[in-house]
Amino acid sequence: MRTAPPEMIASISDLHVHFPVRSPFLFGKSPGVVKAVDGVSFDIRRGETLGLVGESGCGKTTIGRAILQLNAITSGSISFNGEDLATSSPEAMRKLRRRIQLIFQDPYASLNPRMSVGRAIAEPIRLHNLRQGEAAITDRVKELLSLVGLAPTYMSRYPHEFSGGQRQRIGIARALACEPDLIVCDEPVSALDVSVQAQVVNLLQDLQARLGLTYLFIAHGLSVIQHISNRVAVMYLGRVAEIGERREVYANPRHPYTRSLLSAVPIPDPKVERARRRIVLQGELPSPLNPPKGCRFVTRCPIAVAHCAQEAPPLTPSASGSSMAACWRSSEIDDLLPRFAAT
Amino acid sequence: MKPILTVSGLKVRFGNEQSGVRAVDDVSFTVGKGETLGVVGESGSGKSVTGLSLIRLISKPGRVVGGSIDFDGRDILAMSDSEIRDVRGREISMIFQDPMTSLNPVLTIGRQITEILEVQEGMRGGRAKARAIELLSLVGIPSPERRLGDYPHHFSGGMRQRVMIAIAVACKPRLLIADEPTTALDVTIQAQILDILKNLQREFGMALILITHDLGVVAGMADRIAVMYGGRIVEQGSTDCVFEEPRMPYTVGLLRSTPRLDRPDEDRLTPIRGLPAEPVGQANFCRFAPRCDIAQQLCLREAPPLRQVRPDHMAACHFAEDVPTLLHTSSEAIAL
Repeated sequence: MRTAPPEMIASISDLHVHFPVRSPFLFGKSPGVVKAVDGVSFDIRRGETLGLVGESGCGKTTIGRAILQLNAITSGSISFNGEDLATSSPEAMRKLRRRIQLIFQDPYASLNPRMSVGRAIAEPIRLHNLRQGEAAITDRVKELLSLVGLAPTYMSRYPHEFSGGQRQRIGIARALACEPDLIVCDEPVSALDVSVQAQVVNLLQDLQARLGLTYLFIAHGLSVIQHISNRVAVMYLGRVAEIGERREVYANPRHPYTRSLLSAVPIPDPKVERARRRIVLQGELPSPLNPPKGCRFVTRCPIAVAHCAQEAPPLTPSASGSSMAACWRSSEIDDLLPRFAAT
Repeated sequence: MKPILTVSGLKVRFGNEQSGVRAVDDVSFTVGKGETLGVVGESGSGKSVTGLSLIRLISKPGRVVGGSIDFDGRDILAMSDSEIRDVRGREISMIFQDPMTSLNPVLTIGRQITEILEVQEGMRGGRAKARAIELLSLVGIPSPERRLGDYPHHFSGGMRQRVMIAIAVACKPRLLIADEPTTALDVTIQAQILDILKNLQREFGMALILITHDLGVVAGMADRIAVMYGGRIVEQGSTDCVFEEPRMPYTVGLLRSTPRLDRPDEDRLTPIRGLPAEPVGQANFCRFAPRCDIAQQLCLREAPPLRQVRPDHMAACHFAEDVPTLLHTSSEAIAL
């Protein structure tokens, strides 16, 4: 087992999360397993934001849930502050869990409609014994509310009285109540209106600076990920296609999937849009029940060669060493595909 | 050239005069033949209700309480039920965000396409089937003859949206209304669908109303755009004009709140403070004023009309002329 060096807050090593698919008939043969995450390794550094980006079904949410121990791991390991989550005792696990929190896409679904906001935020404080006495708990709840930009008087209100953006702030306050080190943010702004999205993104950045938090920021929006992340991992069909420093991955992508994703993102500027060259990918995501052999991206890749269908490419570092891509042709990609079609 | 669609003073209200929601509040616009109009706005801005009202799909308690909709010389609002049924799908079609709720889960894809050909064009049997295959290949569904017998749940989200588009364009409508057609789709699939819409438009000379919250999508697709806020069009003009020099503070705010892929070094987003307005009751003021950085007393006393500010560009702001100077300088002052 690999233990994380001190600057790493979490280490994921050769993680596999497979879901058996049950047959629709009672005694039928199981049609197989969905390999939602299939051999993923990366570290999360203390104090950073690691952006995890990819399209639906790529396994990004499953990784987030595996870190929180909400999904059973098939094989591989996840360690947090050097401790292997799989081998921790239930007692140790409870303590660790407090330090890893989750923010959901839909804060309404994650809040109990019959619990006032004050009680919802106080619950984890009581559960983990973080403050003693009612007065101290109430003070802490008020403090958390103002930390996320809500009036402390909102304590006695119920979730339905709030807008989507405000509910997301409540979700954040509840996560912060546990005094976590790492927050897994799973599409935290995807359900919000554009003007409110920016408010929540700024709030998350402010809180990180103030409280020294580490974020695993999971999203499908490449512009938001670029904006908020220090490092970025691009996933495709259960594997990491490319990972590295944000600047390097966006300015010099070495995986054809990263390039096509970047070229597909619309940019709010008609002049830029007219001048762009898109790499329009053919076909759709293959079924995770029956992923292609060799490179996962081979069925849609515009530059695949015969070898790609036979052997899965390992992650190899770029010349500068600040990113890694899993593509057999990454060294010649600049001659094959446009880098990123915006000027 | 005469526009194919002219909407003037359209009002849609949910509920009563005093406390009802004015989902669409005095909206006017035109769409030319073969033109793409992008309608942009956030949730509750009235963009979807505007789209629905064009083919009279507003259901109770909502109703159109004013204005007119002229489609190629005919008054949509004055049509009888059977007349409007004739227009729907044949001359004006609409597609929605979630194709699964628009498709019938117990009918095959083939049947759902031939149905409209039968009802609207009187096409039957082998001819309708051949046309269905042609339509499916037009929207990029591989081996269409084999997929006619499949049900909607056999298709992925992107493929379902293609099927919806095939049904919508089956009768070569002159106007297609697309309400957030790619919002539920992944970005690479979105690029495919937008490509298909562009190609179909070229092929059929079809006008397109593209309703979306995504400024990037309209920038690449629309000839002209209309920005909606609180039930009103607050800015309207050629896409180039509006993006180049927005004259309504709301549009400026939207652009500044959006992280951009081509601006990797942007430190901080500038959100619009507060929450989107709910268009309840009569508004003798600018609905955006409470969130606006340059609002004055006048904005709270008088609703700004949508007026021409330069060629091919209209804005509903008392200070539209000053927006470029006022907001470029005061951008740092916008607080969280």
